[in-house]
Amino acid sequence: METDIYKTEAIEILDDLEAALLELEERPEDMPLVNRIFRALHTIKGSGKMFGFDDIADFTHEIENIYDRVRSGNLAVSQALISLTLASGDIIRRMVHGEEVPLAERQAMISRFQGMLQREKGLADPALSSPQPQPRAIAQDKQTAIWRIRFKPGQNIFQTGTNLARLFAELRELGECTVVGHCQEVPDLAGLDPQSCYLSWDIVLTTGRGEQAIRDVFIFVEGDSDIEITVLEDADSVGQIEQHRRLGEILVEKGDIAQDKLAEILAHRPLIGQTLVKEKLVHQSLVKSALAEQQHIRKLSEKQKEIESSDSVRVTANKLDTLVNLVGELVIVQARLSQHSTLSCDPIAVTIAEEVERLTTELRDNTMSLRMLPIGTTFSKFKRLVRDLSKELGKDIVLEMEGEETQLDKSVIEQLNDPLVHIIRNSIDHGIESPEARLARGKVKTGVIKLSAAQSGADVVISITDDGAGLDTAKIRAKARERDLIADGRELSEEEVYQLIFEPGFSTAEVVSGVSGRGVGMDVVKRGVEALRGHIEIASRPGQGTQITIRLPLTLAIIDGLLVETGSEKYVIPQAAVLECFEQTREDIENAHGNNVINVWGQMMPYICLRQRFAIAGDIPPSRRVILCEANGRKAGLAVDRVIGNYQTVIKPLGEVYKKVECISGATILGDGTVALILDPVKLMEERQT
Amino acid sequence: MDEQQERREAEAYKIDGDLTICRVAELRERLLTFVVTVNEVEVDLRGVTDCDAAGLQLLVSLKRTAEEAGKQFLLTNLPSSLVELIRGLGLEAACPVE
Repeated sequence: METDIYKTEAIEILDDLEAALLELEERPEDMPLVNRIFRALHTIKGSGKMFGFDDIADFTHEIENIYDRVRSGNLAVSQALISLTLASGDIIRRMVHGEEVPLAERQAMISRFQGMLQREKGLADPALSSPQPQPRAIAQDKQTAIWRIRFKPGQNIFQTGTNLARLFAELRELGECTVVGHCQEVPDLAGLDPQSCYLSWDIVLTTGRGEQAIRDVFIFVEGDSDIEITVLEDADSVGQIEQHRRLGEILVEKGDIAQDKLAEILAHRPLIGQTLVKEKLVHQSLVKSALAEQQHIRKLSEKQKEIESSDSVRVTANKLDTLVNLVGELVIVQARLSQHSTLSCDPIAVTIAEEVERLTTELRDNTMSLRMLPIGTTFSKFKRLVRDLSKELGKDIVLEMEGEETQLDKSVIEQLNDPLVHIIRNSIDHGIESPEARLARGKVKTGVIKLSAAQSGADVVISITDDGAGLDTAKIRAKARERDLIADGRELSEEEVYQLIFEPGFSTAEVVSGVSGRGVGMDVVKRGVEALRGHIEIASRPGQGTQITIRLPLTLAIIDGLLVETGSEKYVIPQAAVLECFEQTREDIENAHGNNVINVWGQMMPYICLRQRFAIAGDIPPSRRVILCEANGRKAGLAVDRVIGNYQTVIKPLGEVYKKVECISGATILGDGTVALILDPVKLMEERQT
Repeated sequence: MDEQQERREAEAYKIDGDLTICRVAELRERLLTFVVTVNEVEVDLRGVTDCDAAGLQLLVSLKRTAEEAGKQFLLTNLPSSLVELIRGLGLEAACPVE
């Protein structure tokens, strides 16, 4: 269980690491980003160690070291560095997922880092360079300084399994370090709660690594502990450090001397004797103000973190699913109650039923919103994909994103990932041309892939647009003829041609590349989207680009529907598709001379007769209803015997046997216990056209 | 009873096995009874296999208890790992090493 938590967290951190790296590529000078990366690596390492994933910890440690150099200004951010780090992140990810990554592979990665370090000329080993005088003022990290750390752990620190000895060992790695434990507060045995911590420490540390490095050591205990880190004095020369250290030691050896006094003396000494003091004071104040600023920013971000963590609760997806199911059942029961109360003609019962209905609707919406996630989490993953692939193919492509905050059901987002990856890969490989070809066609060198998401009614519309070459309809036609997908002599409209690429095994790529062309593709994408009750469309302009639009329902579990009846069968039409409702008499039908069309405000509109479509026995009633629906930009009517009314529908999937029935998207259980099928207007309309 | 007490005076209290958070509650109970029965509090740590900060804190508390009662306090046969831990945690002053 604990390792599960570690895994979930590590994966989150890795995602953050990746995002930070990609940002860093755009803004290589951004120090806070470098710090974010360093902290991410440090956390993965530290918690890896804590949970016994030594492989992960050791590997991450190496990379962390590299970023320590970046942080201290000894190494510049380069493309090569970011590429290597991204690749290392992938290795860590595999290890977190429990894969055995061969040691050789890990070592190879480390040696690539080292190779890169050697190429970066003129860089002395930091171990050698630290005693040399270093340029001040750029970053206080470079400055060797004496730090006083007051560490009062939380009472429960023993119970959290924190290894204090290891923590201090980590501090000692930073530089000369004196650790003094204080035991004054430890009571006698009678008064002792042996599992609570009464100890506290004062540590004097001489290091050039800066406060951040010290804080990083305390990263796992800082939540519960009082940690006070103050800089006592900067020191340029080794001799001075010696002096201070010894001074500190002497005072400290005396045992329980007031620490304030030690600080006072440490702070005063250089003030008295040295002639350089004045010059130094200027520097020190500069450093201090920089420090204060940094601390201020950190405090702000920590506060933000605190708010986020205290305001949210981590719940397993299973629990949410159970909740959604329960709400679904409640919706069904509520429907029964409403039906029953209406029949009973009891005004009190009707009022109660209405109240229950209102509450159920609210409960349903709230429950659904719990499962909603912004789609941006998925979008940001594609940044990496675009970066790596376009490099591999020698193309220049940027990914633009829009509407990342659009919310979608969690399970929809998860299942959407693969189809989107596929579409983006296609755009990069087939869509966007090489920089030369683009220039030759008078386009800008850099291609753009735009991902956008927006909510439209009960649907979310996601579109992937590229400004590439567009679909080559001639090529698709030829390929389709070759494979006998088009009947001889039949001319297809552009749109029909586009639909061909959704055929299984269809590919126009002459050469199978690592990226695409294997023909396993768009048909899988289409099936994936349809499994989510979504629809996919393509629009393309030769030379200008392609747009693929995916429409998805907001949620998979519950929809608002219109309950209708034909013969003795009941059907639900998704409310989102319903436009208008018309009466149709026998006379109207006779006037149409056997054509399924109806006059809608002077316009002839085709309709589908459910009685015909589902071969329902019985006569058409003297007056029936035609419900005008709109789906996918097409309009058509659905002729039914009777409209029963609005109905909150809990969608239950049909069994395997009925999977092939395309115009039905599911079933629902009605208040009286009977089953109604949920119609898929899009499919019904497509069916009518062919 | 007197005879038993005399025998205990001659003998140090032996801690075997773990001196860690998992056992500090149990050891505290035992040391509480031990400390009142002797004039000189001597703890033999030869058999300690693992120790952590909570374990050391228990020894510190024992020391305090002994000193408040005006009794001698002595730790003997410290394994090197334990000495290392005491140094690591900067508790040399509170845990006198023989």
